Amino acid sequence: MTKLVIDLEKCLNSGQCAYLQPELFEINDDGEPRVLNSAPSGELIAKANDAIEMCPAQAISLEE
Amino acid sequence: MSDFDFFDPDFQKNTQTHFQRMQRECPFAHADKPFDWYAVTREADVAELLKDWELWTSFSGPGLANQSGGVLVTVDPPEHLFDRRLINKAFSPAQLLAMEDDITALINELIDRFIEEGEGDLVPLFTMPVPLIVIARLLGLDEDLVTQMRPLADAVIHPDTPPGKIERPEQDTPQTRYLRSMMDSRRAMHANGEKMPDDVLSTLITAELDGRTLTDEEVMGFMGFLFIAGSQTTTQLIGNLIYRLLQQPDQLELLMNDWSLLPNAVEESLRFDAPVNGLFRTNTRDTEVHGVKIPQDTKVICMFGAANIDPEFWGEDAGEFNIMRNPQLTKRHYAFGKGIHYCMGAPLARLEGRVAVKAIFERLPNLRLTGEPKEIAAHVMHGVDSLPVAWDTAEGS
Repeated sequence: MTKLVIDLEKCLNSGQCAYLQPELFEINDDGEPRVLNSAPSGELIAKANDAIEMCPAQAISLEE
Repeated sequence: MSDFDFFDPDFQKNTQTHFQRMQRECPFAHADKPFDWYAVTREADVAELLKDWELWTSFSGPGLANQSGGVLVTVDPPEHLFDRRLINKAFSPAQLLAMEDDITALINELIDRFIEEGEGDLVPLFTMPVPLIVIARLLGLDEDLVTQMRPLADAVIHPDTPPGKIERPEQDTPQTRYLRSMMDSRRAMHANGEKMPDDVLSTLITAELDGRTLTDEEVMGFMGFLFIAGSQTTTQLIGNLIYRLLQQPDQLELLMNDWSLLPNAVEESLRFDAPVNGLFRTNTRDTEVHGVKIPQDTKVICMFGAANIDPEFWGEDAGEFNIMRNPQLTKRHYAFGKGIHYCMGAPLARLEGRVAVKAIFERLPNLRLTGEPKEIAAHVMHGVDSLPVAWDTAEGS
C-alpha cells in the first residue's frame, strides 16, 4: 500500500502542489499544505508523481 | 496625492521604515506617478493577492509598465503550466544537488582571482559575477558573453528606464545574435542525433509537451528570461547577507561556529532583506481593497519585503535580523513570491547563496567593511551596489 506524504520540515510553502493537483492537495489559511487523498489509485497515481516532480522543495513522496 | 514615493532615494535607503509606516497608516497605499497605482504591504493582503491569480493576473507583466508576450511571469494558467513544467526539470533541487560541487568549484575559482589583493569592492569582484558564471554554466553559454549581456539584464530594473519603455530586448544585438547562433547549432546537433550537453538549452530544444516543441522565439524568450531572472536577484541575495553579517558580528560569529545554521541564515536574509521589494499584479475586474474601489486593469504591487517584516505575522521582533529565528517560521517569507508564480529559481538561488557566503567567510580571514556600502538605485530591488571590504592575506599575516 503506498501512502502520499508531505514532509513539512522540507516544505517551503510554495503552494505548487495544491495549484497543480487540487484533487490531491489543499493549502490551509496558514499556507500549510495538506494531503487530501493519501492513498491515490488509478490515474491519481500519475498526478501524485507529477506533484512530486514539480515540488520545488522535493518535500512530497509516495511511501511504500 | 500619493501615500508614498517609491522613486524617492530615501525610500531605497530606509525601505523598512517606509514599509512599516505604510502597513500602519495606508495598507492600500496610493501612488500617482506616472499614473494611478497601489501597493499592499501587510502580509495578509500580499498573501491574498498572490493566491487569487484569477482576479490578480500576471498577464500584464510583473512590472509597473505593461508587458505581454513573454514566458512564465507574464502568463497565467494554462500557458503558465506548460512553461513551468518545461523549466522545472532543470531547476529541481535534485538536479541542483548534482551541481553543487560544480558550483562550489566555480565560486572558489572566482575567489582565487582576487584573494591576494587584500581589499576591494565585493560587488564587482564577487556578488555580481557569481550568478553570471553559474547561469552561464546552466544555460550552456559562454561566460564572457554572458558578462557582456549583463547590462541588458540590468536595464530591465534600472530606474532610468521609463515605464512603458521596458519592452523586450532589442531583437538584433551581438548578444541576441550569439544566442541565436547557439540555438541554431544546438538544433542542428539534435537533428543529426548527436549527443548534446546536459544544460537548459538542450532541455528547451528537445522539450516536447502536449505534442509540440518550442519555436525559436520561445527558446530565445526562455533563455533571455532565465538570464534576467537569475542574475541581479541572486547578486543582491549574496551581497545583502554578507553585508548584514559584517554589520552584526554576533550573528557572524554564531554562523562561523556552526555552519549548520547557514540554510536558516540564507532564509533570514531573504526575509529581512528580500532582493525584490515587490512585483505587480493587475485586476481582471472592478474590485475593492480596504474600502478603496479600483477599476479593472489597475496595477497593484505586492510588497514582498514589507510582508516579510509585518509584526502581525512575524511577531514583535519582525524588524530584527536573527539567524536563530525558528526555521519553520523563517522559511515562510515572500522573497520568492508565493502560489502559482513562486520563483522557479529558488532552489538555485538558495544554493548559490549558501555556497558563496560560506566560501567568502572561510577563505577571506578577518573580512571587514572599510566604508559604507551604496544602496542599489533600482526601486524594485533591495540591496547594495558597492561593498568595500578588506581581509587578511597569506602574505600580510
